[in-house]
Amino acid sequence: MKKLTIDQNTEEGLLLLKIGGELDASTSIDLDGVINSALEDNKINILVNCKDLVYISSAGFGVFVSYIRDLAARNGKFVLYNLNKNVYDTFKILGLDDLLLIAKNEREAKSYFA
Amino acid sequence: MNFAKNKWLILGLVTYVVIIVARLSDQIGNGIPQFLISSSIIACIAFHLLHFRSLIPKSGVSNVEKLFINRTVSGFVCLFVALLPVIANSLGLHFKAVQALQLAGFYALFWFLGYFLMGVRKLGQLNERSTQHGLWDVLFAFLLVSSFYYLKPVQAYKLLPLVFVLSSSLLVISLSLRIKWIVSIRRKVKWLSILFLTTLIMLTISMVQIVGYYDSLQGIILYPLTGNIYFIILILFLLVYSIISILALLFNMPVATVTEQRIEEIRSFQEINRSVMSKAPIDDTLQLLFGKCFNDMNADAGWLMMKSEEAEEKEAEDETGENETFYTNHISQEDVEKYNSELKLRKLVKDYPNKKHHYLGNLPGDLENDESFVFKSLLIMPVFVDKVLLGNICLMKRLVNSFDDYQIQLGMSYLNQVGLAFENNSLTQASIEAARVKQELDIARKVQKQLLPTNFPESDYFELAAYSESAVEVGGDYYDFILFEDNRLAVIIADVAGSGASAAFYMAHLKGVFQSLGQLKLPVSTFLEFTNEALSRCLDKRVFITLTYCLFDFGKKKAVYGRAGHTPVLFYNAESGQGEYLVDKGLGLGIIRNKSYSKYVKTYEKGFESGDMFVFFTDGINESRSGISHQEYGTERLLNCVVKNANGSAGVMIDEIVEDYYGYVDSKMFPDDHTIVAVKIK
Repeated sequence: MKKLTIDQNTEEGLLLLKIGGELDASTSIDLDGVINSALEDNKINILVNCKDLVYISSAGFGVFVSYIRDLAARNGKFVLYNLNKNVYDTFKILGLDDLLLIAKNEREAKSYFA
Repeated sequence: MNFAKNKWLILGLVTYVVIIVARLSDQIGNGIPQFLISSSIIACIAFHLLHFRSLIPKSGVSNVEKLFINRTVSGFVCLFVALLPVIANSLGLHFKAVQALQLAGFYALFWFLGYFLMGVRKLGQLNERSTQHGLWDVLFAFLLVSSFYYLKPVQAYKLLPLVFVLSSSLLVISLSLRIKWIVSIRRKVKWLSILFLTTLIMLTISMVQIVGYYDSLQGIILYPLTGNIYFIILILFLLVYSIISILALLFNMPVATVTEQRIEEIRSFQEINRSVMSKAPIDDTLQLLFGKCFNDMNADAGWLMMKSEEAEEKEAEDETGENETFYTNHISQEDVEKYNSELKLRKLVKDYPNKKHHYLGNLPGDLENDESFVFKSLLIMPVFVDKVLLGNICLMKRLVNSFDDYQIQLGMSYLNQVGLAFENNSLTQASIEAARVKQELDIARKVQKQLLPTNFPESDYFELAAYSESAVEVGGDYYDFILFEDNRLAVIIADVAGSGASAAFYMAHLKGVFQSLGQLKLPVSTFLEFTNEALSRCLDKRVFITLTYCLFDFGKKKAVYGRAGHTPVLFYNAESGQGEYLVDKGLGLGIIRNKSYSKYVKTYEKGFESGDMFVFFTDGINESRSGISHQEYGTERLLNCVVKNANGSAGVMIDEIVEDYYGYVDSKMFPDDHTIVAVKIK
């Protein structure tokens, strides 16, 4: 069973998260914890690098969904980038592509915060 | 008197009376042939042997003490009888009377030896294996055969007795070495056995001496006792057996103490276990544990300290000992406090490394020579259950360094046993609880199954079929339909994010929403907006629901649908024989929980003709993986399967797809709930 990996970095007031592996019901709790503590530290601009993310389940989406409203209320945002096709298709089916900012690469992702 | 039971004894006694009469009448060799008397003696011995053998019980011996007491008492009685002729002689009684008493004395010896033999035989039954029955029977046979020496012709062979005695001695020794009974009796009984066996040896020797004395003077019956192989073998056996038993008992004595101690220890383990299993109050269990440690480790004094429930919360107050309950043995509460404060025991207990015991072989510094500190060795053992310190046991001895490694280990094993027993208990409880939860879930499963429709309406316009299964007992997939009287049909399929019980509750909630809103024949977009609003009030913040709501109008031959983030609808066109996924925009429910959701609601129209088909499914279908290739079942394979079976009825097609699906995916593990619904236009 593949685990979820989460690397954190802070860069010019942005929180960079690099997630890899499988994001499902059990691993989504870890990601939830990371994002939750980031919000507590007032880090509301979050970039998520999904380069190594191979699978995302509905519970995985749940994590993003649950923070969309929180972030919007505080004028912060999520930007996801480097999504592989599988993951992107699932985002799209769910309609999240209209709601979350999805960028091709890091440069484009950062431009959302400029 | 029970004749049937004692028939052999009665026969034996009758023959002996015959012998007595013959002897007193002085007719042996004259009127009565010697041969007849010899035969009578053999018969008498045979009858007695058979009698003794018949008395051996099938079951084991329950009371070794009683067995020895019986033998000893009858031994003394027989000795008295054997002494009677000597007394009578010194009193100057009539010659015939003395002779009669001699015959009685002879019988007393004869009977005592047999009774003694039977006792030994019974002892042999303790811890006996079946093969030994045979050996004992051989001994009985030897004794019987040896009695034939009374026959005159046999006596001609002078070497015969020697050969016989020698060969029987092998048997005697091999039987004497089988004295397992000494292991299985208690220590006290062992000492008693030694005493009784010594007495019995004395009795035997004295009786043989006395009877042998007047026998050699006058010859009671035919031949002197000393020349009789029956008596020689029997006496030899009894003496050898008794002496070996006494020696074995003596050598066994030091081991016996240890063996009994081990038995006591095993019993302690059982009692500790039982106390925990019976869910006795924890304090009772600890007191039992303390008592066992105290006794089995031979402590001179000790105490048990139990932490009360509040102790955990008031960690800081530990130094004062306020939250502790003491239970002391051979030491006063004041003295306990004295040791506690002088030796800083509380601090020691607190700083236990790795939960080990703490052993003070001697007291530090001046305390060693302090008269007021009577106890010089101290052993403190903490009691842990589930990594929680419940208290500790302190044992003390007067002498320096007097707890040995074995005792310390024993004490620690007792303590560990408590922990283990508690663990076992909680495991048992957990499995009972798990079984109960499983039962509850099975009920929940049945109830949830009833939320999904299984009877589909017969209609001139369409065929409807569906299949749904959860990954675990209950799931978050939902499908349903409402058939309106104006030939319109509403179909819904939904998937609650996550799985298991929480998803199942939201699924049930959604059913309520659909069944009430659906009846209103709302436009698809309004239906989705209202549903989003109804769900937003109850969904956990991380939960959302995807669904497709489709309204078929068979009059206008078109379907209006809205896809709220759900897997796309598969549409099969009968005319072209092709299938396609209707990929449109749409956002899941519960993601945006205010009016702005309406911005994301999109509805689409699709016209249809006879033979066309709409297939709705959840992502559990296309995302389940094969156990072999680990590839997803995929939308492509689903599409092909639909096209292949498009000519059959909707029901047959669903069956075909389900069969193909289960043939493909890893049947042992369905990662997600999977549902499929087909509507075929007639």
